[in-house]
Amino acid sequence: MFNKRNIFILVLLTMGLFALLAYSARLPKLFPFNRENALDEWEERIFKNRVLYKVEPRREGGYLLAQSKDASSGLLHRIGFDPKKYPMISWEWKVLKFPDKSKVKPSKEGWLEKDDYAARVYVIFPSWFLVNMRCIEYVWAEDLPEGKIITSPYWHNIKLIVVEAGRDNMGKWVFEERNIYEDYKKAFGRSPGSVGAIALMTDTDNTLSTAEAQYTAIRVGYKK
Amino acid sequence: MKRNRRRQFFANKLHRQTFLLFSIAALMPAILASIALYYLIFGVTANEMGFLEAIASNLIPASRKVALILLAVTPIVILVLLVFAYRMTHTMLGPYDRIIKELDDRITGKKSEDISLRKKDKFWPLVNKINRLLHKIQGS
Repeated sequence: MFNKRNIFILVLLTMGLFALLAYSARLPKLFPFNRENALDEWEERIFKNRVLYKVEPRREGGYLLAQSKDASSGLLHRIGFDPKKYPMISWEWKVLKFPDKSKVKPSKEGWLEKDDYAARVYVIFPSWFLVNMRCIEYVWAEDLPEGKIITSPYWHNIKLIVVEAGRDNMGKWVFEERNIYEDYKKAFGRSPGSVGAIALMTDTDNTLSTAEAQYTAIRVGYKK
Repeated sequence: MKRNRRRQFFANKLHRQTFLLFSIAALMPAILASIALYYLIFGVTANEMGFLEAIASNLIPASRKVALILLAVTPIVILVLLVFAYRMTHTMLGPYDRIIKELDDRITGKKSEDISLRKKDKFWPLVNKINRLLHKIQGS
């Protein structure tokens, strides 16, 4: 019974089980931002200057404040799950100030100079092969129509979905709920692989202006 | 029909097999190491960066440059490896058939002088010992 072959299979199975347990995070995952150390489970990535991300913890109604001045940095949380099984993501956000795009001159390069948003929520799909990495970004855009799906000026593997548009709801908490699986299919025309991370960003590095937003009650990886 | 041995790429079957073994032994680790390095350098860095805008701005251009350099250099490296493997195996195993043929000629009595090889060929110590043995047999 305990020959080399059986022990080898047992070791492999155990490794597979641990890998499976490590991969399957406890779902759904909720980020209420109601603790002082709520950002401990997020990784900060700074690209150009640092956006101030600050938790305002409250027992009820805690939130994450994001203030950007000519900056671009984001918060990343790694979480692996199958979006076909657990397709939903929801969050609440409030925009207090939009990046000022009025001074930006259109260029031949496209609209890279306008690629700043008061609030973005990312869903990132990693891949072993670099060029197969993809992501969808849910944005609150001042100047684009709601429901529009656009390709990022940075890369065709990044699709932006406008889920909130204009200034009508500025200063109010707005609840969003999206089906990641369906949105990915709409954006890329194919089914997604596993989700590898979610992220948040408020940026103004292209418009060299200021923006302010708040995020809360992020819930990811559930069925409706 | 007379076979022109000069036109044969491989001296014999053993030469062909050894050449293949040398080539695979040289190329496979090189290919695997390249893939592993590509993944380690770009895949792990991309995973660490997380945001695709940053990856697209910094890592994709770098990976394209590396891919272009690899595409240009790899065929040359492969060619050099194959030529090196061919020459090495040829000097090692080319004399094999020749020694057998020369021994056949000595056995049938067609020739009686010493067996000789090309200067760069391997197996000179073996041939020298065979020649000494032949002398001893002829003397007895």
